[in-house]
Amino acid sequence: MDLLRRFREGDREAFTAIYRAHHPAVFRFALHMSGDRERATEITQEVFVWLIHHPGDYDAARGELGAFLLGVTRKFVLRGREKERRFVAFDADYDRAAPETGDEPDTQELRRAIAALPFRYREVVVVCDLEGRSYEEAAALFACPIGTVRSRLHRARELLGKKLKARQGCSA
Amino acid sequence: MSCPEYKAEIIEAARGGDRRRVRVHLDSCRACSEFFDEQTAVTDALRMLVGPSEAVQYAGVERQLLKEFDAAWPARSRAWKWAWVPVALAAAALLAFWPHPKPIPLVAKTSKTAPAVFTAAEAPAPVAIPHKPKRRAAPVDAGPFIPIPYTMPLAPYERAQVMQVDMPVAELIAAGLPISTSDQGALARADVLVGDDGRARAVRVVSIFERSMER
Repeated sequence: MDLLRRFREGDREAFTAIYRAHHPAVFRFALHMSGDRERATEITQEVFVWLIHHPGDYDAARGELGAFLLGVTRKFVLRGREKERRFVAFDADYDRAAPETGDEPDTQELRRAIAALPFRYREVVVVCDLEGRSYEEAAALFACPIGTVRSRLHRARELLGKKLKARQGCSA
Repeated sequence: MSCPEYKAEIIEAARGGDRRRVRVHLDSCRACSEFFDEQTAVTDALRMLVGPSEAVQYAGVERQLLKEFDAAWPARSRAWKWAWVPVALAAAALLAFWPHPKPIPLVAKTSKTAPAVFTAAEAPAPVAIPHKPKRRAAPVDAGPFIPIPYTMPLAPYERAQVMQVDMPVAELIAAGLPISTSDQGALARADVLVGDDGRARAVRVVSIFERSMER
């Protein structure tokens, strides 16, 4: 809280500390949701630029800063999707794009599987299973009931399980 | 419970939840046991994704954000942090050299031992205060102090000071003082009785400067 207070008072070091603590989670979410490392970097930058210009918008009583920033990131991701839709008639490729990384083939396969999930399933997997957020936090983030978050996650995991099993079957 | 009903419990157990609730069923159901293994594999695979590689690789982002921060907080972060110091110094200097209106003792000039400050109980009879107006003034019969409406009267032993001020006649009339003048824009020189708390309690008009007299 002291860090946040100092940031709101214009302390540069406090902002740097907040950025370093929270940017990996923001970037991961943006990366999995956009499927593009460059775009994820842009979104991360946009989120923190937004924070610089709206230092008073975060209310500590409503949750921790990390969860709040994930909500901001989600809005930027959705805005990006809306923009893409204006120019691309069918955005199937967008949803299926896996982040380009130098990972092992297994990890890349998993990324592809996550990227192929429908948006509403993908975001639940990223928030609950990759970021370790609770169902309550995810429900607040997506503005939906906890039961909906749970059922979406279960459905997403079933789809991921099938894909992994199919891959193992192919490689065997 | 049937197998589909166990599904949610199995997923939660594979995510690191309580396995005791499904253990007995898993031991007896091969399909659910396989589903559990599949979900455990999903959990393990997802854990691999959260690593050091999942971070912004572009170091320039932080630099650019700090540039943005500096642009958004140009003064608050640095200059304004200590800006109050020169302002406070200037205010202190201004107060020190400000020409304060001299409190005029409400006593005759001849009584040298009379204090400049007196208590309300021993307030002497009003005496006309000699002054040298720059402009011609219409002398007014300086009567007793008239209490200013809606102010607390002085307590018997409260200390008070008299200050002489020039103010628009209109203001005095608006305050309810009985002043008769044909020029509403005239200035009045008045003695103001100021209490220990700095509030004006009573006033009396010493002279009036009418605009027609300046011609």
